Amino acid sequence: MVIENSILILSGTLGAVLAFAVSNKLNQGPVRASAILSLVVAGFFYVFPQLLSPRLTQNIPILFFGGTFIGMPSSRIVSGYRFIGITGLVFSLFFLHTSNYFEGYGGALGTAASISFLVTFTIYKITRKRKIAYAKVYLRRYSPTSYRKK
Amino acid sequence: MCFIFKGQPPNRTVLKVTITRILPFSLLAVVHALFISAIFMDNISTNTVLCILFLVLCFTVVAHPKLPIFHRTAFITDLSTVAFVVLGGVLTYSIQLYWSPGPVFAAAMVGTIASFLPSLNKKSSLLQLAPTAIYCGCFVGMSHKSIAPDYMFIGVAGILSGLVLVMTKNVFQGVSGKLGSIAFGGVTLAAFIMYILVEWL
Repeated sequence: MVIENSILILSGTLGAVLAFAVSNKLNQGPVRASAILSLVVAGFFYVFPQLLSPRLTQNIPILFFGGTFIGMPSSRIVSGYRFIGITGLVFSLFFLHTSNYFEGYGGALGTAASISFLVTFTIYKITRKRKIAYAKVYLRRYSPTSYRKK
Repeated sequence: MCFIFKGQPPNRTVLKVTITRILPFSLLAVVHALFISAIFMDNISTNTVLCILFLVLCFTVVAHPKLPIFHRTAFITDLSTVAFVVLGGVLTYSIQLYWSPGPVFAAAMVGTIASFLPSLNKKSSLLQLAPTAIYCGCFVGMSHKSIAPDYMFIGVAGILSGLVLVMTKNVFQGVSGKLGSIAFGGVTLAAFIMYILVEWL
């Protein structure tokens, strides 16, 4: 059970990072990156349904597909594999505890991805520390001209 | 560590708070609240999960006002995206219905084809809108048969999602899962409308 959950969490995280890389590094665009990667993974498990346990065969494509949504934003908006990876991890954990009430509703994966993004975004905003580099910039900007000349 | 929102969005101006800007924002916030509250109801007896969920809810509430709002016009042109959303929904639902390869495979297949549409004519602004809208429709079409019994439901959910997509064009840009949230909102709203129609008529 622990190994299966770990594989599921890994697949969600991997989906996010791979989609971000394909979308931004290979310039394929968000939709193509998400769709092609999901098509490959879902196609693999469609062709080889007996390769892994039924739970993994059923859930890996779903979590991977959900993970790719996290990798869809442009690198102009989100530029960092660490942020994308953490969001993918949060999404996988969140999705494994999602309610059965909305099972079968289209867009539930995207909603879980969106909530995970917002959670990671807030954690980042709270824990962000100003770098010393910023202090140097401020010092340079607001220091007297005579001091700068020296 | 500075890896988010590092670039300024194009045409960014200081915007007044108006109903047209607040309404789409609120719509997506309600969708998120609905989704989290359903998990609350499932885990009402487990204190640890409830605490984590409460934190998730707090973080989500805190994040919403911090997200950027863009100012862009061309509202009427964007209405054509509604048709693309319905198209994506119907195609994905048809593949699911007649072939049954699974919702992920069906949505990914339609999404992959849709992503190549702008290459047909790079000057067409309509085709440039198509991939996003069709991909949003794919999520609508991923609904299970027990939720979406016929094409009528997919059509209604697609139109509702398309309208929400047009309304939310200026908000939540660059946020992961925006299209999924919109599709979820559309499907939930359509299910609610169908439920009321069945109960009252």
